[in-house]
Amino acid sequence: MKENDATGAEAGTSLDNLVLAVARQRDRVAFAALFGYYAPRLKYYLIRQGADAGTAEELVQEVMLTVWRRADSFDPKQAGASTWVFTIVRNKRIDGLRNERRPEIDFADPSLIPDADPSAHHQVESAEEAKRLREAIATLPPEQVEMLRMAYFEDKPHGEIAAERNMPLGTVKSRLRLALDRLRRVLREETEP
Amino acid sequence: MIGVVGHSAHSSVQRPAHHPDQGLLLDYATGAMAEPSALVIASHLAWCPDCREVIRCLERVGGEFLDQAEQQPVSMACFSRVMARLNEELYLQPPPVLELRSLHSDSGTNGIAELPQPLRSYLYAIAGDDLGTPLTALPWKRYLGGIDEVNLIVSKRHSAAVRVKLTRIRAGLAAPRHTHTGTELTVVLAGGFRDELGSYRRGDVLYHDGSVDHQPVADAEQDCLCLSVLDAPLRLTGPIGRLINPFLRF
Repeated sequence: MKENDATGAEAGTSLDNLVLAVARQRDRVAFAALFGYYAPRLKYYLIRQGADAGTAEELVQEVMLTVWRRADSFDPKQAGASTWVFTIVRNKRIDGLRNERRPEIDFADPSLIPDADPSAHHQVESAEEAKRLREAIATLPPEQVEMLRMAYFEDKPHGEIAAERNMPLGTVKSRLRLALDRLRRVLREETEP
Repeated sequence: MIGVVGHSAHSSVQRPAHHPDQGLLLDYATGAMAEPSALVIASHLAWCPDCREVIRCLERVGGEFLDQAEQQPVSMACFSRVMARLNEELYLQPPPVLELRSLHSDSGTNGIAELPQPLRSYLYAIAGDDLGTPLTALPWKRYLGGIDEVNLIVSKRHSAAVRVKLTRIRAGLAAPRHTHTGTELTVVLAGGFRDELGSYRRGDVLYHDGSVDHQPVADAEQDCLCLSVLDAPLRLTGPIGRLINPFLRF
């Protein structure tokens, strides 16, 4: 576990506020701060996904411009800033690095079956919760975290991770299942009233 | 949120009973899943609030990994280019959101409009983007008596080894017994069927590999419509099926 956990959690809230400032005031200083925080992380992510340095910077630009353009669609009640940026870079790299589209559901679709209790499912992604998630990841067994990192950072379905590692598919599946069950439990825990 | 609209109207709608396993949801959430399978999963998600909740959790984990990611220095030129483009972007409209289509105008006609997004967009791309486009406007081909298919090209880098198809099985019909030499990922879009392992209705997902030998039987009330991704041919295993195997497209 890192010692700057608390500051990390606070950073989560202020990142949300920066995106909101971009959405409401088209605040360029806030945007520059978001660039300073996310761009180097996005570049690392994209290089891990197989981009060369030049392509990675081009995609970083696209992601950050999407942050600027779509800031008004950011809803901190649905997801924190980093979760939102993660979904943007994920979709950009599927398009930019793999030349595929991302089939996404459309929440305005009349044929969608809506959440039974939207308030229960759309809990605020609080700083407290982000801290719990960070701690939970830090205390997972190393072999489980390694599987998760590969799943998120490398463009590989879990079946391919197993093949590449020369591991039985069942072992990879069970490590991922143990890790994800744990993290989902942490995220489901009720925050203190 | 817009998703809340129509909540009461949908409260009686049956939710799916068969879900993709967590590994498939992870592949979808991380973006590692290829486009054809992701289309199947997205179709399930449109009808499955429970799995959408899992996806939300998995995306939060993605956000956390992004926070924890190492940092690769980004050039000043990259920063300058982005900042320079903010002015021009300021006056751009946000990208158009897929328009809301009313279901009322062609409900009950087996129109493409009854299928969930994003599948609907893929089908409109083939059959023409018209509100009332019926499913029959798709280029159906006879597979066997009572079973018709449409092959879809889903992705720009669609591998020849992967087949994506809509399959329609006539109400009450038993499809030939078969097994899979590769994997099959299927979502039921309308009607339902049962096989030796269970019964499947709208929104249910099935994932089979070569270990399953089954004979789906469509429910009697209505034609069964499925979207499937196969990465190897089906192999018919019934006594007659074996004889016609070599002649089947997969």
